[in-house]
Amino acid sequence: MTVNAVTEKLRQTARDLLQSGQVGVVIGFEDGRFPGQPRPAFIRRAEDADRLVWNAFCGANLAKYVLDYRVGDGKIAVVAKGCDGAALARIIGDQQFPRQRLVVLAVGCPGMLDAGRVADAAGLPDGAWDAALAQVAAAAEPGADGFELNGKPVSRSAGLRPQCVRCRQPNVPAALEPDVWLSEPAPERHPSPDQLYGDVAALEAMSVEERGRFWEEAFSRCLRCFACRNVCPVCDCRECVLDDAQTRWLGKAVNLAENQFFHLTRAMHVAGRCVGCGQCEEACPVGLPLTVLYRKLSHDLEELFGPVEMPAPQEGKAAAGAAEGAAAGLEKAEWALTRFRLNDPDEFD
Amino acid sequence: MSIRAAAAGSQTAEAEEVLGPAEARRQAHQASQPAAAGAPAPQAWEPLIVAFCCNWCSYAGADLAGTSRLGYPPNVRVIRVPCSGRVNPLFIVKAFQSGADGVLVAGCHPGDCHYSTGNYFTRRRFLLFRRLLEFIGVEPGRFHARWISGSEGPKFAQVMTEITQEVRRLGPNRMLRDARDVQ
Repeated sequence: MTVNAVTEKLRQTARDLLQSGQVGVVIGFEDGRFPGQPRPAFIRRAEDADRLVWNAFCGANLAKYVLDYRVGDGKIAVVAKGCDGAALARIIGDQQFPRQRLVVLAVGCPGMLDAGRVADAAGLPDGAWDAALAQVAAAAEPGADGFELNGKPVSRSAGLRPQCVRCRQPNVPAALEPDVWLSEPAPERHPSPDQLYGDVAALEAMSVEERGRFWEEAFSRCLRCFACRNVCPVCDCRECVLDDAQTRWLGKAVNLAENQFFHLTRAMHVAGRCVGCGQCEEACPVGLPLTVLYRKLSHDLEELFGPVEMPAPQEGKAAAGAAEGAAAGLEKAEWALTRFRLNDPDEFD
Repeated sequence: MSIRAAAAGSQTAEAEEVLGPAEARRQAHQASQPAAAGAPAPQAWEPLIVAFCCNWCSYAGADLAGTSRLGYPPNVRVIRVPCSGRVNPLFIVKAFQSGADGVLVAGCHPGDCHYSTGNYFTRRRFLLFRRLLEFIGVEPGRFHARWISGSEGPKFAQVMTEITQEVRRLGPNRMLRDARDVQ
C-alpha cells in the first residue's frame, strides 16, 4: 500500500530519532480498530516506526501525553498540528514540561475530518463505512481539497470537525520553534465571526431565564466522568482542585449543583488558556456543548483585554545546548488572568 | 441550622427541616407576594447577601459604617478576606449554592491595594466571571464587585442597601441551588 508523503517523512524521521537514541519515544498516530479513527501511538523502537501514519483523520490532540513523561530526563518527539503545538506551548509556559526535552515534529494542518461527517457527506450507507473511510485515510493526502467517495465528490470542508471550521492556528506557534517540518506549513485560516462565535451569540440573544434553562438542562446531563478535564491538554496541574477529597470543594454526588460547580470551575480554569482543540466536546459521552462555554470566555477576554496571545516560551532550541539549559525551557508564560493593565476596563464602581 | 435559617427566623427554620432550604425559601417568597396577602403569612422571605470584604479597605469601611452608627440591612453577612484578590470564583459559586441570594466582592480602589496589585487581578477575574454567571443564567444583579475604601463608611452602608434592595426585587436565587435540594 502506498503511503502519503507526510507519513513517509514521519516514519523516516521517527526511525532516525529512535535509532540514534535522540529520543526515547515518538508520539504520533497509528491505524486503530476502525478506519477513520487512527489512535495515538507510542513508538519506542526504530523497527516499529512503520506503524506511524498521518492522514486526514489524525485529529486527537497529542500534547497531553507529554505530561506522562514529566518524570525522567530523556527526550520525546511529538507530532504536532497547530492545536497540538499551541497546547505544547501552554504546557511549557505552565512550567509543566521543559522545551528542551521535546522534539516537535510539525505538520501544517488543513483541518481534520470527522468520520461521521464524511460518511454523511458521501451518503455512505450504514455498514459500508469501513472500506470507504479506509480509502479516504489512505488516499487523501493531508491538504487535499476534496475527494471522491461513493461516487460523490466530497469537499474537505463538508467533512471537517467543527473545531477545525473555527481554527485560527493551522500551524504550531512560531515561538515553539519546531525541530522538523514534516509538511509545508498550512495556509493561514480566517474563520468568520459567525463561525467562531455564532452559537455563543445565539445563546446571548436569549433571555437570562432561557439561558438558565439551557445550561441547567445541559449540566443535568453531565455524568461527571471527568473526560473533558482528563483529555484537556491545558488541564496540566499536577493536582486538580476537583480531585481534592480533603477540602471537598467538589462533592462526590452527581447532581445538578455539583455539576454546575464542576463546569464553572473548569471554565474559569481554562479561561485564557484554552487552545480550542475541541477535545473536551469530542470526549464528552453526553454531548455537552462545552466549547460554547469556553468560547464565550475567550470571546469576552478578547473583547475586554485584547487578543488572547499565544504563550511564547522564552527560550527555544538555542538555549537547550547552553550550560544552564536545564533551567531554561521552564520559563513561565502568563495568560490573561495572571496579568493586568492599569487601564483595564472597570465596570465596578 | 444554616446561616440562611438564622437570617430568616425560626419559622423558616422549621419549614426548612421538612422541605430543605431552597424549597422552604421559595414557599416563603411566594407567601410574601401580594397575592397571598389575605392568607396567614408565614415568615416573609428575606434575601441573604454574602459580602467578601478585603481586610484593608472594605472591612475597615464596614467598621467605619458601624462606628459612625450608619444603618444598613441586616441581610448582609461579611466574610473577611486578606485581599479581594484572595476571592476565588469558586467561593462565589459555593456561596450561592450555600443559600446566598446575592454575592458581593469588595476591595480597595484600583491603585490603593495594600499589596499594590491584588485588586487589578480581582478586576480582570470578576469582569470575566460576572459575564460567565450571566451566560449560564444567573440574573445580572445577583453578583456585584465594588471598590470601597476604609474611609468610605457611608458608601459601604449605601452599597449594602442598594444590593439588598436589588436582590429583594429579584427574589430567591434559583439558578445555583443547594446541592441538597437538587436531584
